[in-house]
Amino acid sequence: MFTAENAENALSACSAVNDGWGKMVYTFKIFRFDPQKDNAPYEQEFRVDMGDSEKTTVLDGLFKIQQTQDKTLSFRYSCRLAMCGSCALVMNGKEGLACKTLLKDLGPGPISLRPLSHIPVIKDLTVDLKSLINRLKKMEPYFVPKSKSPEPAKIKPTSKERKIIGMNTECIACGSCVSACTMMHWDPEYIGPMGLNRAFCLIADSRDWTGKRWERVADENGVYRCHMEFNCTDVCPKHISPTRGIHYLKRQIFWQGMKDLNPFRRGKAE
Amino acid sequence: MANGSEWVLKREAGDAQVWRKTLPGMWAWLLQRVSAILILLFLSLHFFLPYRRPLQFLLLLVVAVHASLGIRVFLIDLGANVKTQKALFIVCLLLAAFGLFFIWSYLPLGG
Repeated sequence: MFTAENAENALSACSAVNDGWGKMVYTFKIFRFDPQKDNAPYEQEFRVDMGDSEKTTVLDGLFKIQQTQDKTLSFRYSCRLAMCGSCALVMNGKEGLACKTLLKDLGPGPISLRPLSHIPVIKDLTVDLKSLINRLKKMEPYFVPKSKSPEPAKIKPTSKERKIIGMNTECIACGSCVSACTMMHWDPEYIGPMGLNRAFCLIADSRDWTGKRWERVADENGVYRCHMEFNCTDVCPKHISPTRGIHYLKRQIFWQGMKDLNPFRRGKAE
Repeated sequence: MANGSEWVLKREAGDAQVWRKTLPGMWAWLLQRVSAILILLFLSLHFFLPYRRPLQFLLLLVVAVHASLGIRVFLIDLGANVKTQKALFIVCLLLAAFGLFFIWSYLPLGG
């Protein structure tokens, strides 16, 4: 029997509904939690008319909800063109940038929005990036030159070294990889794919003085925590593979160990 | 923060969404771990119940899966292009199926 209640249920089971006038109504299930007020997180449902545009993003949906339904909804954004990494969220169980993800690509069901995992929640979808930055700091994420030469370094774009580093320098530090990595769940002290990717970019650069970075990469919270699940690679919005960098570091540690075992090289200054 | 402590959302195994979006690389890892545990189980049973055809088949199956996924790990560890990891997963599973079929069909296992 067709009742108003049945129609309501059918609408909420389906995310995108065309009302016959060209308008698309999407259902969002958004994670809500205010640590100052709430004892536990809960999920709130919103139904939003997003017009007839095919190009509306998740971030557009969040703006619309905040403007028309709930002004207290908290989320972070900045550039709106996938450059700053501020709006990273877990959308339907997968990490990505809200400004880059189109609503129509999220399938027919309700759209679930959650904050990034493994990072402290400040409020609703906003996470505290301090923990990400602190992990990055452990890797000394800045360039320290080996030589004091005032001459600019010459590294050709076609050189082997530049090709090895590849696109991994394009990281925008959005934290999607840290959220997707299951090893972050088991070892909160693990540096994580973001920090290790930065370490890889610097260690693979022959101009850089690696300093203590090398020891930290090889310790118990370093590269050996990576179990090669490729979750970070699969969710990276910039299509970087931190796993590739981590495995490059593992191989370098191995060859360094082999060199140290060589009796003819033992005790020789580098 | 709530009660002065930080509140962190985690990827819990009990969460249905975590499984819905589990990606091929993760399945490869999980399958290899689970097959390792099953090898221990079936090998122990094999000592007490030797020459049982179903048990031999199961043992061979988990060994084939574990070994072929191990080859994938070796290749990526040795520098194979990470972009091939999903294709390697499928190729390794096919390799396991082929190995299992060959051994089961042509080698005399328990008569």
